[in-house]
Amino acid sequence: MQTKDERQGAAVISTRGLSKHFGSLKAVDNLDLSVQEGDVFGFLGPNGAGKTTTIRMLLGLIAPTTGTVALFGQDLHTHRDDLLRRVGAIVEAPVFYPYLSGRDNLRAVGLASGGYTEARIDEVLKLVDLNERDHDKFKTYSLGMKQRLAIAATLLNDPALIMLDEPSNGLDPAGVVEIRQLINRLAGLGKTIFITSHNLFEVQQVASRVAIVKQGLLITETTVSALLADTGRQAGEIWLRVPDPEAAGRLLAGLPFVSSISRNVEGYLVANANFDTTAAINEQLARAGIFASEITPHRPSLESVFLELTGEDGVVDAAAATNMVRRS
Amino acid sequence: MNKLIALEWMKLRKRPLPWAWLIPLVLLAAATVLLTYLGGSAIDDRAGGTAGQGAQMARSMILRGATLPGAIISSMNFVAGFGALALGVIAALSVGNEYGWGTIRLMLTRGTGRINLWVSKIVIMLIFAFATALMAVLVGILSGLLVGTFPSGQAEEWLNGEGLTTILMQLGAGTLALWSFGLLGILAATFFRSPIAGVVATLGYIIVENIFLNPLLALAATQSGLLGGLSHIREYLVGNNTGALLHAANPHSWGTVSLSLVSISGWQALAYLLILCASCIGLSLWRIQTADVTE
Repeated sequence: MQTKDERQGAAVISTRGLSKHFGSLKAVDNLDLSVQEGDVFGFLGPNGAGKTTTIRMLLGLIAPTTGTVALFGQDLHTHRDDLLRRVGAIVEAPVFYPYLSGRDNLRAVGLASGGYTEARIDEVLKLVDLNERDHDKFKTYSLGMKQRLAIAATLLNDPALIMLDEPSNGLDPAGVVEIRQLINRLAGLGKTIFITSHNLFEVQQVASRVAIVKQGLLITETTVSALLADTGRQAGEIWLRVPDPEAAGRLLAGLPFVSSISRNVEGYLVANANFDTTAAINEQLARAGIFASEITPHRPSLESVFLELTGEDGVVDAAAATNMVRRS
Repeated sequence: MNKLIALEWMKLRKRPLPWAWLIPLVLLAAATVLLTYLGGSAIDDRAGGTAGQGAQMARSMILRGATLPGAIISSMNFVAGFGALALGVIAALSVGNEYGWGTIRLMLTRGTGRINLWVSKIVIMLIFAFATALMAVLVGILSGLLVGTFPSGQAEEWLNGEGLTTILMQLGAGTLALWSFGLLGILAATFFRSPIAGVVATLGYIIVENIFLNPLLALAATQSGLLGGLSHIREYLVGNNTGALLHAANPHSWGTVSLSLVSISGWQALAYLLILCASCIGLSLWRIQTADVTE
């Protein structure tokens, strides 16, 4: 296992004591991040946690109040232009010149990046499925198309590092799935991907490592699997659909490996127990002549861990909340 | 830098706005020459005596503004005045919209330095100003050639060394005059970080100078005391200096020239405009380099 210092030697993104203050507000406070080559890194936090401020500092759009940013092991402040040519980024909403076509916008991005070929533009347009609408003006695009064009623009110079700020914002479910597939495809190509999001379900599907921030402070930085395996998560809620919940409840309450029993609004009987006991619970119910039609262990999601770590309940946005309800 | 200039050129030529300004600018510049001819030729100079001589002089003077080479001066004077509005607005929008649309972030995250990006905009405005001035010369020549086919529309001798020198001087003076207003637009939009504020500030200045301040200060020039002293402020107004420069760039007094309201020498006007341009460029670059572009 590498130490943090050893890891920082090979880091694609590395920040040390990074802070940004707006007057008395500490938008980002003493942030130490390390993103390794090939990571799909989820940078998570509730609204106002400092995610976008961080990504702006990582791209040199705003200067940190204190601290340093290094990309590919080089200081961003002194090598900004060269380093950013190896980065593709979307910051906040996808923005382009509204009077230019999708293709012309990519040409503009290509010129700003130091050059392009029409073949590469064709390639990225095809990759994001915009090759049929490339001559339409950007202002006529739907939000999903704008987001896809932004991703095409980030890929234009074949960057080693891709930064995506809320990439699935405003997309319909099909668009969200497309973005997820695209991120997985890029990760498969060995790209390092840095995603900020408050849609934790999406991040869980693609990220290998995550950092969680709240009010500018880093709460944790680890792998997704370590985060979920942490905090004794072998126990949790086991949801049961049974024909006689009261009798089943009395039976389960008497079992030594069930710590509590309750019923939720959806009519499920909810047993708090170790997930390993799911089969034993089923067996006990069957012995008593109660046959469950559903038994579901509810393992912790990134969302539930996130909510626990950040103490956020109801503060996260509606999309994240919807996902949480859907899954729990 | 060449790629950034190519980028700015693509953005400028694909915008509808420059064309929406240039097409009427060409038509109106040509119309200025033709209307000058119509106005001059409508003067009846057949009467005898002093009145007849006066009418003859007036007719001759006005027709010199419509025939070659005076048509070039008439066209350039019109374009330098009306085109100043165009350059100011287009420049303010080319900068202000980067903030308004958020595309400045798009450009800066591609490894484009802020200074390089702004310098490319400044260079493109210089090229656009030159193209506009060149168009004024061409419109003047074509209109003058057309007028040459009309009665009393014959050109004076102008296709010689002195004539070509004058055309080059007009081209240079016109370019600098137009660029000055373009740079004012860039400065205003960079400071206010908004297209609307940039346009309002630029147009506001032009309107205030031409509609309110100039007549007011011309009036002050006829007064004494403190009010009279204020009239010297006119020597520092942009429009007056561009007018004086164009006037000075017409050493053979081709055609009719709209004289500057104050007596500013050509060299003084040139120095003033160069200092103005350098100041606008310096302040714009300082602002873009130091300001947070994402607020």
